[in-house]
Amino acid sequence: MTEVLLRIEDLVTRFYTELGVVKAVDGNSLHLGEGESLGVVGESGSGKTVTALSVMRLIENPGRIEGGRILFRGEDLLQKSERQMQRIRGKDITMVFQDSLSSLNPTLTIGEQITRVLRFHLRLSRRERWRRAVELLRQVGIPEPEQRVKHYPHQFSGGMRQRALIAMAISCSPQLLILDEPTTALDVTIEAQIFELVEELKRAFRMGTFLITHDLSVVATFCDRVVIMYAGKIVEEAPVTALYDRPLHPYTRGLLGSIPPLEGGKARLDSIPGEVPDLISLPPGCNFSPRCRLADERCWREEPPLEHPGPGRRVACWKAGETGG
Amino acid sequence: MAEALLEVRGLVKYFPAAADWFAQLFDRRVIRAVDGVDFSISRGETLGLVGESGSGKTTTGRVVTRLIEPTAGQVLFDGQDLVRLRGKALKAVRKRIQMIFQDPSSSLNRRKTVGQIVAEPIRIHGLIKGQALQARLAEVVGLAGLSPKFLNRYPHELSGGQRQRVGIARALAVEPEFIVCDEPVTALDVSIQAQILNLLMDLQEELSLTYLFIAHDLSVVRHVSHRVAVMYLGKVVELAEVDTLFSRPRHPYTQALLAAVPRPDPRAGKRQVLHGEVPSPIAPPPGCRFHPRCGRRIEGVCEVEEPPLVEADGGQVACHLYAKEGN
Repeated sequence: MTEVLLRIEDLVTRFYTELGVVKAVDGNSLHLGEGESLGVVGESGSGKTVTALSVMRLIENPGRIEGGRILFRGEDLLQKSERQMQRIRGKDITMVFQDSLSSLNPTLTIGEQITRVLRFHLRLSRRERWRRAVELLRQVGIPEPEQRVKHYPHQFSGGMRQRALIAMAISCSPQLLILDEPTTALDVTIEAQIFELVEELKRAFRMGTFLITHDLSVVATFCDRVVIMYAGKIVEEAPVTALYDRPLHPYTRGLLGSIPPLEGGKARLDSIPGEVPDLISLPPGCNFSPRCRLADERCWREEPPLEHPGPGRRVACWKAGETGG
Repeated sequence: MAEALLEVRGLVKYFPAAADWFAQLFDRRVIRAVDGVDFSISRGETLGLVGESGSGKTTTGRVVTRLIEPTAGQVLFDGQDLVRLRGKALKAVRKRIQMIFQDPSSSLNRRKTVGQIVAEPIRIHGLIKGQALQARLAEVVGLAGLSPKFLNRYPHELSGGQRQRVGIARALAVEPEFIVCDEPVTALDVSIQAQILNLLMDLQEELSLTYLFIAHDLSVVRHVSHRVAVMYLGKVVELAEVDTLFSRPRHPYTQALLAAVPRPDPRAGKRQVLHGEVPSPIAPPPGCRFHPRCGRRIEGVCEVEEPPLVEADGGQVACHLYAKEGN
């Protein structure tokens, strides 16, 4: 059994906006083992990115982490001072964002940005830092790294920028790498290259990876376990094969049905009706009930608890496993 | 074969590589965005256009709607060459061709209500006035799956999916025959994507529309298209019936592209990875443009001679592997 690297317990993160209180993450628990890949899947407003930002302690006003614990190697990150967090962030826990252009500083070369991270966290001489930066770029598959290290972000293509961000993220050999939609803006061919790279790095460092995505196909190829989120709550969790073989939550089934198949028939897509609810005024009962084909009186009235229907599985649904007519 | 509604012949679009006229005095290089493209679309058909960023698919869509002028080539719409049309004749054809854009937030005017946005093309073409207009607007947004109460709302009050429905309603307002859909679902959530795809396919059937469907997501393209054209660096490298293309892709690039698509199945095995990136369209590689990344290139042939797009087995392919066999 692998060591637990990250354990989130009853996390509550809310945003106090002028329009009302946004319950972005509403009492969620999850864990991630060493060297394990966890996929966190959901649509906009599901709370997946806010969960990751809470782990990084990067929630800013008007947002607040209001409850729960985030245990990283057994220590509660929510009890750390900002100074202590700065030593962890970028070193032990790192994050790669979706938009590589806005994640990089346009006025500094890629090399300057990588060496700044190294200078902050490690005791290396200037020369060693630059050698390491070149080595990191080589490791993430950037051709001619000796030249590229002197280039600015705008001189890189989208795929290359994402590689540079990954180089920066792994520069201090992190134990946990958070990837927030790392390939959404990229072509499939580049996406496949990026995941091939992360897979190699994961094996080399036994990093735990926390992959945030809306794409269940990417999760199928990359992750060991999957958590499905909807409107701030975890609605289902399962080992990856179990989830695809037998999804229990109607929302998970809806997401799988929304993907046009690459092989086989061309039937009408089994889409989910309606839209993601407003997080300020959530419906009573189950958050998914207004869009659910199976919903009945009880679903509209009472919130379903997260139950354990089998090994490694959790689901929050009164109708779990029912497919309906 | 049904009658061709749109026929594109030898389409070329070059952009200057330098940013303004002054820089252009010193830098005469051009970006070969579209470099000799031929295809046709029959009435009621959907032609999918796929390719990576920089393949020229969006530029092709913009030339076909004459949002931009081509450098060379013909765009025959119902027999008339769009490139040579001017004034009234062009306006008349424009009513028959509409476009749906990728980003519904930036393609809708924020200061106008949904009603004003959808009414604009009707007003420009002087189709309906007065009382009848309101009824028509309600009908059109209804076609796009929105209730008439949305007519008085502003784009910022709508979700991404609803905004895309407004974009669709605006395109439908003038009863076009042909719609260019440029990545219409890329910016939407998965569950909303499926709703919009279903809607576009229902509308095609109801209104016998013809689509040029541009997207980089191969599963989406497979789902909506009858035939598919694959572009690489400004050229069509393969064009075939959708089932043929997806079950028996012939061009090594099409094969690589399909192998890179992740399947929603944990047992599907590892994705094949195509290495390298699309080269610069300012200086495309000589010979076959795909040869530097191709695993099946024939030394001494592919880097020298450009393969023509030839008929082969019910489709078209531009690759020396197939030219050699004499079709």
